[in-house]
Amino acid sequence: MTFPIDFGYSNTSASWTDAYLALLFASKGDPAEIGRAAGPMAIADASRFVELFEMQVGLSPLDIGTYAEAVGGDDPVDQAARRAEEARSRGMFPVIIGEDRRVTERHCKDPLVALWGKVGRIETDETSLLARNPSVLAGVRAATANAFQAIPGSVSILTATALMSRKEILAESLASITDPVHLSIDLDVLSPAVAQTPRSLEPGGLGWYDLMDLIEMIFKGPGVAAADLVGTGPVSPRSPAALLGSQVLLRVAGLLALGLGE
Amino acid sequence: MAGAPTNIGIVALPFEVSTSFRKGTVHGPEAILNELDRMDPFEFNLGKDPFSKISRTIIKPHGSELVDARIQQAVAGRVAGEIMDGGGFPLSLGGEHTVSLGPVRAARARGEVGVVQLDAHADLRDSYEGNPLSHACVMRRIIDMDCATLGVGIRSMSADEATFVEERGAGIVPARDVGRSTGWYSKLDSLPDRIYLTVDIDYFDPADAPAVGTPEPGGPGWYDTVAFLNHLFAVKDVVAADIVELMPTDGDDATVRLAARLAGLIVGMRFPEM
Repeated sequence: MTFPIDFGYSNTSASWTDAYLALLFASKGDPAEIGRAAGPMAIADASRFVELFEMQVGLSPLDIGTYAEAVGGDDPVDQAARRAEEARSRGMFPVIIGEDRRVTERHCKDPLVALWGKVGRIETDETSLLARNPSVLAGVRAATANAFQAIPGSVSILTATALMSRKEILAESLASITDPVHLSIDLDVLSPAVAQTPRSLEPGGLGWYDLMDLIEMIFKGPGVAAADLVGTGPVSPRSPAALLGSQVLLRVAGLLALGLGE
Repeated sequence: MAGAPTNIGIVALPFEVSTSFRKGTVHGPEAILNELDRMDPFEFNLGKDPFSKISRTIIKPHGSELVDARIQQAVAGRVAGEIMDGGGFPLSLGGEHTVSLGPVRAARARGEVGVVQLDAHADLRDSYEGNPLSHACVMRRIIDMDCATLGVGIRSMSADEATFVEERGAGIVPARDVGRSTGWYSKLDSLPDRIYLTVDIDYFDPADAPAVGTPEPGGPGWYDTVAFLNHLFAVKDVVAADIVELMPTDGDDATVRLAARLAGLIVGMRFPEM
């Protein structure tokens, strides 16, 4: 079950056939619940209060053609992954907004750059996911011992501490990746002062502009073929975290727009 | 700076009609006033208790039941004007950002005035949801009063607002620039000597001030703001000010404290000899 939803203040969304950016909100939500539902739908709702001019890139990014839909049904994660495949086959850029990293596991078909704050005791087998593709795990600052030891040696691990000391280490790690990547952003990569969700409790973490810089670095490095925004399950409706999630999506759209412009 | 004020009038303006994402700014004035009574008043950034030697009057010209923005402006403007005419410094407490319009108009009626806006949002829309007096339009209405403006900490605006900024040359300091250097302070040079200062609490980073209606990530921090205000009050004649858009929230006392501290700072900087 899928249904189009509004995204952004001015609601100038393109149709599925005309759009370049496809925002797929994997949620069991109902359109009538927008404004009351938590998780991905809270972010969709918050976007309607976000200005659509991206000051950092000087563009109205959603003008590239943005289509947003809620993807529901019994298994919204699987449904969203199939919808993302369909989008890619049409030459679109899919972004799935998911409650947790099952989205990444099902959706990722490319080298993975994961901006995640922690690994282990999450909803999926992250080590298998990381092993499956050439991967960079950046921003991590907490892990279960088992999960951390099980991360394959082929994965570049850039801790939050290391990144905060020198962000360029991400660009150096990306240098060996020649194909556009799958970018996965978990809200838990941000400092709890920034993200303010019940899941983001670990001290430290990235600041807002740190995350913006890293995302830009990835877009301008190997490029990005698809993306997801996860860890949104605990995001409450009409909360600061909901607005923050929509701002992350706006930033991704801004960098896409900038890339198209160039 | 001629005609320095000798007393302060704190004006509570619990007005809220047009806020959108979350509501509750109507409770802002009472929360700040209560916090001013509760907190330790000594201000370490100034080395004094800002209120200890200054005569202050608390004025509550209307209640929270008022819903007509034009009447609210008239009432708030009259009160601010009377304070200024009596040699005082009006510090208004909102309420939604629309409450700035009356006091700014009063300041403008008494001479050329520039407006320094600390805010996350440009608030330069001509109309928002069909309402030209929305909180999202307040700086546009102020520019309509023929006031030069400088928006500091801005990190959200629409494409139309960006076009307006470019065409009109409205001063903007993006949030990310605030703490990077002080080079942008020179933008004050283009403003008149008389200044009205309006502070929307969502200017601050949500990590410091989460209790606002529309929080935007990436805001300036406390100490960068204190440094700028020190400079502003040193080089300009700040004739009136307001603090708006605080949305008190259960479980969050930090934002209320920040707003009250800000009130103390403004008063202390305005009356440096007292």
